[in-house]
Amino acid sequence: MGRDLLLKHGLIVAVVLASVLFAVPPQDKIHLGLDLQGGLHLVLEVQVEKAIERAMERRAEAIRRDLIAKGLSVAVVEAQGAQGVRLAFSKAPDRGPLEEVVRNYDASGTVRQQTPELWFYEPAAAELQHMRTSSVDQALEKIRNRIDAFGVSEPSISKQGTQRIVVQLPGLQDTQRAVELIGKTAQLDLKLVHSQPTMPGAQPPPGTQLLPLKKKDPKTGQFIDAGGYFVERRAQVSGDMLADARAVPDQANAQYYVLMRLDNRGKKIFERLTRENVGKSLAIVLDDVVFSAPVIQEPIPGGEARITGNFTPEEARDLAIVLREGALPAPVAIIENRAVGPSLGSDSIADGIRAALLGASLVVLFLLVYYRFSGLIANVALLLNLVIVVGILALPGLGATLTLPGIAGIILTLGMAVDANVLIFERIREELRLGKSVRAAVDAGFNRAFSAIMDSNVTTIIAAVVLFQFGTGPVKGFAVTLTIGIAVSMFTAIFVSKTIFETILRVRRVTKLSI
Amino acid sequence: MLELIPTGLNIDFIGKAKVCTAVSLVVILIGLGSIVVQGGLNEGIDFSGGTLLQVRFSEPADLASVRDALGTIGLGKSIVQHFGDEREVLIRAAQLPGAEQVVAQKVQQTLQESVSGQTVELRRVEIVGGQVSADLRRQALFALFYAILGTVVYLSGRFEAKWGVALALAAVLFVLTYSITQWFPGVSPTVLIIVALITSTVFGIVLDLRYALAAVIAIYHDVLVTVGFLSLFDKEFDLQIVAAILTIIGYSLNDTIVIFDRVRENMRGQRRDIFPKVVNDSVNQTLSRTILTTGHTLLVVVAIFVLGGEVLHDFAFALLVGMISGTYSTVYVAGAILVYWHNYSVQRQKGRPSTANSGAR
Repeated sequence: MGRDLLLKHGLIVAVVLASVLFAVPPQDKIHLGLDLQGGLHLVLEVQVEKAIERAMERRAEAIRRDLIAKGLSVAVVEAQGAQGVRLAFSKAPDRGPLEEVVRNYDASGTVRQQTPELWFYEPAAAELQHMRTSSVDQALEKIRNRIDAFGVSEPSISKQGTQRIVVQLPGLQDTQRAVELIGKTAQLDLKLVHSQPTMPGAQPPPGTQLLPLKKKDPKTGQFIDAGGYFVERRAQVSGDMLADARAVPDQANAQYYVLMRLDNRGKKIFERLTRENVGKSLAIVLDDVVFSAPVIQEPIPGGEARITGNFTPEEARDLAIVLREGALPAPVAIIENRAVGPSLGSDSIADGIRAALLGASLVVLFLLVYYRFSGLIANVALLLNLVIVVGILALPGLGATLTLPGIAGIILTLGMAVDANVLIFERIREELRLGKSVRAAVDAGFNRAFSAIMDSNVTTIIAAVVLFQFGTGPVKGFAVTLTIGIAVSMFTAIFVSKTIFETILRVRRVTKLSI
Repeated sequence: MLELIPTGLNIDFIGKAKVCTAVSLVVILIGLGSIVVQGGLNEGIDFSGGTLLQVRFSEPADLASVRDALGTIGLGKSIVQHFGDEREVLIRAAQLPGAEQVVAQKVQQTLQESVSGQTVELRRVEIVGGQVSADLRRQALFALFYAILGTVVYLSGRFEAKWGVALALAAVLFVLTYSITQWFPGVSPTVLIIVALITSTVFGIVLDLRYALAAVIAIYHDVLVTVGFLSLFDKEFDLQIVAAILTIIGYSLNDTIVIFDRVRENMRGQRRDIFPKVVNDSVNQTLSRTILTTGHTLLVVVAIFVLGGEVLHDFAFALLVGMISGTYSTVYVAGAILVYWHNYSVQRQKGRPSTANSGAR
């Protein structure tokens, strides 16, 4: 055997060995898509405008405190959505100290005087943009923490565009529960109850709002409307003052509740609040829904409060997670939700494997019958093609994911890989018919079929690359396996099968080719 | 040696070109007609938004009672059908996400209550919002656009060996579509596709890129036939179908390239007037490989169609139609256009000297 031929054999053996090494055992090495292993794919849209509103409300409150600390005669400080903050004074203030306070929070914001007593702070466009971006980043971080606390292996959480977050949780069983855990804003507020509406449609008294009360239906386990309360707009204590939250079994009725512990600041405020309002009701509000409104019996110094709602252990645990990890800076809307159950995933794998086996055996059989010995060579090439494709899919750095359409792509490329061999073999037959020697015919067959093989593969790869660019989810997996399969087929159907032919022709004196 | 097509076989393909062109047109028209009659493509939730639930009962399910049960929770208008086997039911509702995230849970509960003693397993939930589906549709159209663009440019370069021309075409198409998107922000990709199709066709005709143009028109033919068949058989258009169509665009060219290369080879040193015969000979000479290559690929597609499961069923169906059409169009669209074009230019050249002569007199 010549030196070049030895080199070629070495290369083929090395590639195949590497592929086998990478791919064994395949069930551990190949990363399966959500459609094959089951799991949840969510796309969330952060309502950034709401985040800005909330941030402006917080800023208004901070500015109010600072202004009072500076001794200015503040009357009303009120956020006007994303527009800015209205600052009303009982005595006209100087511009200097006022601007100083505002600049402290927003260096490039403008402070306008409307009347001597009425001023307006307008945030800079860049500041609003910063609020938008950071609200998405914060939401992503919170969601990541929630998922980590929930306990999912290999979650993938990433930003898409400017205000979307993509969450992928492979292998997850209880997808509905995860959707609720992730999608909940979890804005906790403790608000004093003003009164209960006496009749439906009653207007809330000034400074209060009507919030619905939800109670759990013991039969269905769903939370249903159970009236409502007029509660004060301003929250006395909110979720950012929590030090801890955990699920605790209720000895009395075998249900769970969530026990919250406030941090030091919250503890002080809560103590003062309960001391000053004994006899009144305090509503525990989560995302603008009242869970309960217990009457304050006595001052509570320890800073502990509980949310009761006849929770199941899971509900209590999930609620504790979201409270502990903190509220999202803005509500998120779930704009895409795809969940595949594990049983469907394993059925799909079984279907895919069955189809692959059938497809491969049909092709193998046909090649053997039609091209005899040469068909056998093509089949060896085909087998190596499969092995190398699987090896590349398992390549650690590539991060490829095998999906159901991806399996279809592998099967399809088995058929397409054979195309190359057919083109070559038909050409060899033709050359033999013209009376060429086996050697010359084989050479001519490989050489002259090459450009057509190349072209047909290029056009298919153009389509696959475009699909990869624009496709999402499972379909992207198809683009991946199609591209890999075709690229590998160039190696196996041309290089490998040619090397086998060359070896045979060199080792034995062949006068008649079985093709 | 086993031979599918006996050597020396000579079928008169080109002689039947007119009939086949008519057949092609009729098939395409029927397909397009069915789209029009149905008021557009039957879009899956990827492109139209909505909710899709796949439920498995432990025993064969009765669709009417499933519908009744769904009616009690306000989902009576859902499309309900068996999926693969009798126990598996696919529910398609217009419900968008956000409005009610618990819809899946509610459906499962309701169905569970409607059948006693059976288990009801929720196997798949897909809820796609309006914004997402609009994005996906846009992306799908752009994918088609770029796939066609890439193929047209590649073919112009490849067949005509005029890479400069191909690059010029690419530049023209790029500048044109780019300026359209600048002038009309948010323009539908459909418009871009149509503009690109017309531009490249005019380009091809003016510069006489006949091989490239014939091949590309064969692709359009295959895509139209596939889309028409999908509409006729009431299949849903989703991302997988788009993937199938892109694959067809890439794959249906393969035979065309082989035959056209052979035409070139056979024409070397031949007189121009035997061109139709050369095309026909070339088709015959390459017939066995055309049938074998497509045949092999069809074998595996049939395997996917039969055993690949319901999820891949429509995908495989689209590939089947597109690949069969691709083989047919290689001969009767691409080959026929070459011959028509040749005949037309021969007639024009015959006409020209005589008018020139009469002018001189």
